[in-house]
Amino acid sequence: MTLADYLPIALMFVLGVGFASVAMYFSWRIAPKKPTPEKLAPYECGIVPLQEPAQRFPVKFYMVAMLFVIFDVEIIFLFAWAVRFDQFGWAGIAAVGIFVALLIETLVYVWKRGALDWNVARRARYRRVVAPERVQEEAA
Amino acid sequence: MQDIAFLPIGPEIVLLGAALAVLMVAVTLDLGHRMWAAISFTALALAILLSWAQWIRVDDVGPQLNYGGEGVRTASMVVMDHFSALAGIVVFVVAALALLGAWPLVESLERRGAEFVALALLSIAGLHTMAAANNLILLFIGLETASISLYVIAGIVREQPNSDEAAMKYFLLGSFASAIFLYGVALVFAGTGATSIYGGGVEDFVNGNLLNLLVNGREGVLMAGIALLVVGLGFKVSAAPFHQWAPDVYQGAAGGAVGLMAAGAKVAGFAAIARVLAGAFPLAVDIWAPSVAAVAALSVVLGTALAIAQSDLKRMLAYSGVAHAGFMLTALVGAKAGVPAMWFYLSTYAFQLLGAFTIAAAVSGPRTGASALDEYRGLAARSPVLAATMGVMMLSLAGLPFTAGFVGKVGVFAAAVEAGFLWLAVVGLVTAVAGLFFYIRVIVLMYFQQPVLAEGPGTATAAPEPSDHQRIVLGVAVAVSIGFGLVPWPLLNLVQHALPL
Amino acid sequence: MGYLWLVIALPLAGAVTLLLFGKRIGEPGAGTLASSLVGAAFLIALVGSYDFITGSGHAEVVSGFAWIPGLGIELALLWDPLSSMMTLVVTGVGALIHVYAIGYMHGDPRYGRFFTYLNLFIASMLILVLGESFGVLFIGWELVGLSSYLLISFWFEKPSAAAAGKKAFVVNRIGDFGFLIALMVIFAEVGSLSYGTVFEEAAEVMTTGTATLVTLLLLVGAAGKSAQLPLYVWLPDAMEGPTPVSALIHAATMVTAGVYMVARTGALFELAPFSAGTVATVGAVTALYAATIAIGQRDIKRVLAYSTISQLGYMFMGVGAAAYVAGMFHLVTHAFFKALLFLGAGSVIHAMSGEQDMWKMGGLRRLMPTTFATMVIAWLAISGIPPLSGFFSKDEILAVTFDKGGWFVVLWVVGIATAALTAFYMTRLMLLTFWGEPRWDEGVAPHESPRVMTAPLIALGALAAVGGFLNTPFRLGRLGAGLEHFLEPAFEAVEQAHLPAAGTQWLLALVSVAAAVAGIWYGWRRYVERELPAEEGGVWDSLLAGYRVDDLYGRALVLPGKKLSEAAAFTADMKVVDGAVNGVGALVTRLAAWLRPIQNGLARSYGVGILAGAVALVVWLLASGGGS
Repeated sequence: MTLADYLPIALMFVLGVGFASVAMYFSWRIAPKKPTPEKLAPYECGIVPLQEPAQRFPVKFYMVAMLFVIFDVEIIFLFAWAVRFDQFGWAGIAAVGIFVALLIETLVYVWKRGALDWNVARRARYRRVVAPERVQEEAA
Repeated sequence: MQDIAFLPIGPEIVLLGAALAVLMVAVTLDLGHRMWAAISFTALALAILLSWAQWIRVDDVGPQLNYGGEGVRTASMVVMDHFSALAGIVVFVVAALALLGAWPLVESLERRGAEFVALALLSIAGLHTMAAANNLILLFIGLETASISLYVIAGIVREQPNSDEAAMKYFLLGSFASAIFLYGVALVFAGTGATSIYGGGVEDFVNGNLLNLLVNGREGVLMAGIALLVVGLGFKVSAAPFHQWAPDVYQGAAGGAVGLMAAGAKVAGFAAIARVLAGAFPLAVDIWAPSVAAVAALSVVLGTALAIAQSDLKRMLAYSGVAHAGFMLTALVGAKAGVPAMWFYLSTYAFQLLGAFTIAAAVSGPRTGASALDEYRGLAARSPVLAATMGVMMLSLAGLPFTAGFVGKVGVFAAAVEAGFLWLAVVGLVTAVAGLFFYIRVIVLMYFQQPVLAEGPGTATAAPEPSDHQRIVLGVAVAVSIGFGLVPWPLLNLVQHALPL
Repeated sequence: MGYLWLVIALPLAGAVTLLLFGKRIGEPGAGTLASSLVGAAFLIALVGSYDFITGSGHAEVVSGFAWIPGLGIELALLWDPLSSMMTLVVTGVGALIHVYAIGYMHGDPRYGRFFTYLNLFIASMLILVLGESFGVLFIGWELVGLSSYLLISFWFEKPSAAAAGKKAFVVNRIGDFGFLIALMVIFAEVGSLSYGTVFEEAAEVMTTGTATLVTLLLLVGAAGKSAQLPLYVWLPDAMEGPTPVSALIHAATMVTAGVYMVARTGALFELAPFSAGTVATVGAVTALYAATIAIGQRDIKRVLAYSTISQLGYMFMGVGAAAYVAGMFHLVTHAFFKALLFLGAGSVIHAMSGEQDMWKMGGLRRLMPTTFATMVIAWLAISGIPPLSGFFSKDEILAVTFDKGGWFVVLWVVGIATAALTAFYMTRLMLLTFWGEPRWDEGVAPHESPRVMTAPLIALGALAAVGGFLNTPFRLGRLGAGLEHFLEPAFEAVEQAHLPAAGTQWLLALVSVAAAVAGIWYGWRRYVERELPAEEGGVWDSLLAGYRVDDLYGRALVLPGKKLSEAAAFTADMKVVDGAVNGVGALVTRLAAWLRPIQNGLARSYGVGILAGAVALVVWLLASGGGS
């Protein structure tokens, strides 16, 4: 391959970049720019939170979905090992053991932190047990 | 199946174990942050000792390649040489101090503090992996382990909108840069058929095809790959023009967390750049050196010019960090010959950066992001210890004689001149002198101006005092800045040996 | 001379001690400690110089420690006649001024801090003159700059003092650029920064072109530190500092560092005749130029500041003409009489409760007899009246310059004109201050200064009177040419200019004395009258403002920066941090403001930056290493 072979690609590239830059330049050029502190704030609308929200966001679905994906992927890895587990021997079992143990530990952590509790009352109990200072704050 | 050599990956094992232990302790035994401290600092101390043991082991038996079969191009995964051992020592010492300096933040985070500690330990493991990887894919995994942890750390104080902004920007742009790096790995693989560096890897390929590369220049794919690797790693060390995230992220992230993010990422990022450029492609130096020199020149000029205009200390340090990245790249245009100069600069710069950010956390609070320069007006009268320490940090960052920064600068300029890049050394020199302007300005603010105390929450307290943790960090930072400025040769001799294989 | 390091260590120890315990030691302990340490350093230097005085000494390199061994940067000291002479001047005059400052700074709230800086300066200056390499020279160079900055803005509550400090810093930085680049070129060419190696190998390694480049860059550095055209603008403003500082740093010692450097690097200037001629020309032009401005000044210290610039011009003329001994000779005598003039002026200002305008003085002669008597000696010495010190040293420079012939004769004429002007403005200063009717403001009650201040005046007065006999131009036997013999070993390797024959010398001396007498005579006639001439409007305003060069620099450097920024969008909204308002600083700041809009806080545009960089790198590497 010589450099000439790359020419169409280069041309395409130049055209693409050129079109994008021209378009961006003019939109930048034409647009009125009057920055105010509000516009420069990270949230352009809504109320800027002043403290941690009292209620957690309803992210339960995401939590479960994420954990599901993680363990789904675990299965894929385990499958590859399982097909040939006799050839990997004890070292393979050890490696997979470590792998699974890591994931289990994560599961234990999120469980204990209350990520899997859908029941608001139960979560409140968690907080009473392991985060009493916050409950006191809320009461006050 | 071969025997597992635990020494090369020992630090990683210890740190990962500690991270898991901290999380478990946090949710099962309610022992509080003292227990986390015990676990994490024991692990870090062990990691430092293991790196030291690696150094001694390499002294005895020479560099080692581990984990891989024979004759397979994607074979060995980890390399243990003086380079990786020194990287380990520097990363772990810096990170341990950074974690120590961040401890007021950990305490203020309550339960989430455990997550901060665990993430920090994970990121530290990732940082060392970047320096010890013999395989670009493992290097990428280390980079991602470190980066993803740091993204979360950047946004650990969720109550601060700026902290969210910092985390989001860091994450988006970091992912972008990681993708570019990965593409680079792919192209290098396409060009050489290997992803490992030594032992039948990329280096051997370049070695074997050198004539072809230099004379016929038939390796477009490989060249593009190298370029993209430089871009991906250049982002991590905030070299221009890949630097723009740094000011926003440093300013937005919690004061206590920035030290680890900035100093740790710089050290590991440069270890990785040196490993890739000087380790994998040392023979193609003539091809990549000019472009690296251009990045270096752009970094020092842009970083210096923009640092002058800042009104926030953390932003100023971010831009000065761009300039410092440029100075270290200046050393690397000499490939392997420049690595010792880079190491000296890097290992002393990390402490100065850490010291400066620790002071920012002490002055503006561990949780707040912004650290306006106005808060430093008249600091000498309000808090003489902090002002004096800051003075030393600024002088050393500026590179005044008898500070480590000066010896470092002399080294990198000499390396550039030796490599035939006189113009780069001159550019660096001129910008180094211009840079004095904003470092000295901080000192002038602290010593020659009356305090201006703004009203409202999150502003400077009348007389900030460093916590005991922070005092230790500052003490070490001052000792390094002045000690290696006056008596540099122990470190100079050490780094002479720390070449990539 | 193994104990040479003590000379530097003593004042340094003083600075550290006073920094830590200055407040506790208090007044006058801090001043006494600082003065006695500098005095001790002087005595040590004197003992060390004994062999040079008897003529049996030889230069000695005192190895320090190898700081960065890989690069051959060693912190070694050099003890030769040149450095010993400089050390004696710095510590000797320095000690006297320290003593004077004990009285002058009386009652200042930062008394201890003042002596910290003063001792730091002495230590830095000694590092500068004692270093055995350009590296050590540069370290001292920067350190004296730092202490000068600290001392000029010592009363930083006054905005003008803070601004003056900043100005000195920025202008010196321009000079340092040149100096640094010169060092780099030297290192690149010779591979070492040690004087011994550089001077030995320069002749073989360097072409005339390189040598000219190096020496011109060194000249830029010297012009910055020694306040020569066009970098002199900081020195008049530096008078904002306390008067002992003006005497020590901005008259006797630091500003002569440029002269010392040119003399020290004579071996390099020898290779580049063009540079040497440039040095002499810059010196001569500066001498005349500053003398004309001095005529129009009303502030007593500013007259002396411009006079210093002018006298430094003479020294440059001397070393530029390869008359190193003459240049160094004038450096020494100038240190005596100019320090005396400043201290005398300080005594007057002290007496007048801080008044510096000469038009509000007058008639002080009887009230301050000691100050008056010593000032008269200094006045006649700087005017060049024999047999006072200034006559001998100035005349030697002029005679050697004349003897070189060609272009240098023109410089000689300039020198003679300057001599007449010098005599004139000094007479003006003396008459306005000490003669005539009192024109004091109400409530001012002048009085003689305390003994601790007059004693240094008397000592310096004696030195200014007889200092000329160190080296009479007529070479009256061994005694009369003391300094030349003393310095001989230091300039063995370089070719020096010679004095003309005795007859010519007498004639030249006559001309310069005539010029001086004419200046004094005209000044006397003009200012001894009861009705003082009104010096206002036209030329006088222009002179008072120093030809408005400050405005010019401001317009030439600051305005383009502003224009640049106005061209850029957004800047109206971007508040640029204060502080960077001077020349170069402003330019860089404006550049930064111009670049800042790129950092607009939008992640997508940062992404574009990364992408653009990636594309550029890929294209570059493909062009240089890929495809055929």
